[in-house]
Amino acid sequence: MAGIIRAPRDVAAGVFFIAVGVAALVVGADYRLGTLLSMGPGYFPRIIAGILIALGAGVALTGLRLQGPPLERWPWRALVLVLGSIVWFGWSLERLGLIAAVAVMTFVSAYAEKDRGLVEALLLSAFLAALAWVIFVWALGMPLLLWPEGAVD
Amino acid sequence: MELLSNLALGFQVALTLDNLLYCFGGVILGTLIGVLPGIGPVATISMLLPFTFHLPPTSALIMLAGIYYGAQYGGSTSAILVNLPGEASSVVTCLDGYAMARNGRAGHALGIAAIGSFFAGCVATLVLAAMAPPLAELAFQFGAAEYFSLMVLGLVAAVVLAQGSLLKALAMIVLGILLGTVGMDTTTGDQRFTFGMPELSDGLGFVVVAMGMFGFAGIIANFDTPENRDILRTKIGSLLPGWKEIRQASGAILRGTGIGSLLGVLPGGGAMLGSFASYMMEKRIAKDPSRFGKGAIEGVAGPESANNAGAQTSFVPMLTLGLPTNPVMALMIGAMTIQGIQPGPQVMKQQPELFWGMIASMWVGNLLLVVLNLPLVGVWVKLLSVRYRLLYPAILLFCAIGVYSLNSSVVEVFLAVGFGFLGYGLIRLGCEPAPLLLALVLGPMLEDNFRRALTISRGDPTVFLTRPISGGLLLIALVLLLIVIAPNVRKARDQAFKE
Repeated sequence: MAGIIRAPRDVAAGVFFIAVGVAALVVGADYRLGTLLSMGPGYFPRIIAGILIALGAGVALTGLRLQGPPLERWPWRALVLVLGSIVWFGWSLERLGLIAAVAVMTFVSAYAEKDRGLVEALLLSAFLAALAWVIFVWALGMPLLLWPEGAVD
Repeated sequence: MELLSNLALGFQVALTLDNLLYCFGGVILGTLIGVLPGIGPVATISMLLPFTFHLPPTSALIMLAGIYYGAQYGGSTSAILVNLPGEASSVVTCLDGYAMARNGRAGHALGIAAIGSFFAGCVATLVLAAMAPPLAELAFQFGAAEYFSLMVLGLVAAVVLAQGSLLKALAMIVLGILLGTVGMDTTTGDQRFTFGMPELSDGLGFVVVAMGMFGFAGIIANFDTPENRDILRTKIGSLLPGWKEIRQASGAILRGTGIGSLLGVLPGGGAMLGSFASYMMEKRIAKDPSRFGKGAIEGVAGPESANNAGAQTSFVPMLTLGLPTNPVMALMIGAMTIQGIQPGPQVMKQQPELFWGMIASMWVGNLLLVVLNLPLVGVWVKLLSVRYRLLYPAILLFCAIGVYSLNSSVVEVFLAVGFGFLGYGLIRLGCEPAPLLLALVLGPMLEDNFRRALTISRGDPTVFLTRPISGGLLLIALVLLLIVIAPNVRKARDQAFKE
């Protein structure tokens, strides 16, 4: 394999584009096509998906022909902690309220930075939770739940 | 003079106390994020969009525009003092700006950057005011076929002028158009690619995508590059350059303004392209090119004038044709739509206060930037010592609350996370997200005009070629593509981006 694939990044990108194009064709298979004169909802997406597949094939082929940079290791720690903390924010905002959502999001995402101390992370999350309250609830008056329902009168 | 009465109307709007304050807020915020590396105008404007709902449309647009050109001023400050481009458009300023700072001429570099930017801003405001009416007039004669071809040209040009692999950029455009078909088909009312989610039936929000791909993915991508900031310890010194230096730089400022204004109007243009082009030009025409990289004042004056001019003239196609030429303009279109304004040539006629008020506010904003920012340089330098590790959780907070508050929808927060992951992955595969965002905004308009043109022509697909303006636009698009594919141009272009 390694002998055929000269530019893994290009091949991966090409395969991704092809996959999205094929997925669009499959999902949209039953969208009515219509005619050129009066197009149905499926006409334009099919053209576009077709072009995407062709371009994806082009990208992948250049990856087989030309030498290119290798795939790098992904910074999974940062990726998981940052995106995970936003998922937490989305999950908890309407359930546990703004303070808990922001405090935990900040605390978790703070550790995306490798050398982060506990005190710094705690201070940061307390500060941002307070800041969020001041800016969005107090100053902008956004109707956000502050604490878990029932916790305060 | 119609131009003068129009500008007078604009200044009446821009100089009301409210609008002055919003303009001031915009340029200050713009400078702030311009100074700080790791956060740019796209992420900032998408963060702020939800909070502009309740502002009057003119004030909202004045403020958002201020962020964009304000960022050009701020970007030069970190480039000169810390050798860090605060914005992509200030990359070349690092070369000679930082060299000047090391020679103890930091103040002069900052001063000439501000003077050049201000001059460029004045000229670009006039260019915008003079070019907009005839272009809008022309646009009224456009039918569906012309609009379709114009958008194709815009997208092709965006690719041609972009960095990196042409095929990948084209694929990103097409992917963006495909994402644009998500939601209800406006002609037939059918749902497409919504997977039964009611949140998707209005289409993928471009703010959601922008926040994911530029905000979230940007934060993660910043962990790839280790932080390295040598805050300059030497004194900044006098901000006002001497006459000799001003004379030396004046040619570069003029040329930079010209090149920046021109490249800003082109689809795909904007602030960055102009600054690169100007630097190359100054280096080429200099009597002694070896001075460049060692503190040549022309290498600061030219690009800094060009990026400010380009930032402003890129409003021309957006305001007159409703056509965004870069992601920031795509967001401006979004801001107008949110306010219930349909972007296009009719804006100038139907809402002259908004149109001319915004143009006049740019001149006001530029003046504010020069008068207020130079004395504040010390504050900006202090801000640079705030490390990214303390900053990114705050950016994350604003992004997250921003996405949620768009429609008070948690689902959109999750969608943005998805696009954050996708955006990061694509960046790592060498695919720039900017063309995708542009295509996402243009996609629905592209499809709409495509279908209407074919309905009007009774299903004859040659209509795009036989109507002269439409055919001409497509021909230009084709020529542009062929030029870039030509091997020697490709090589020169790659080299230009490397420098």
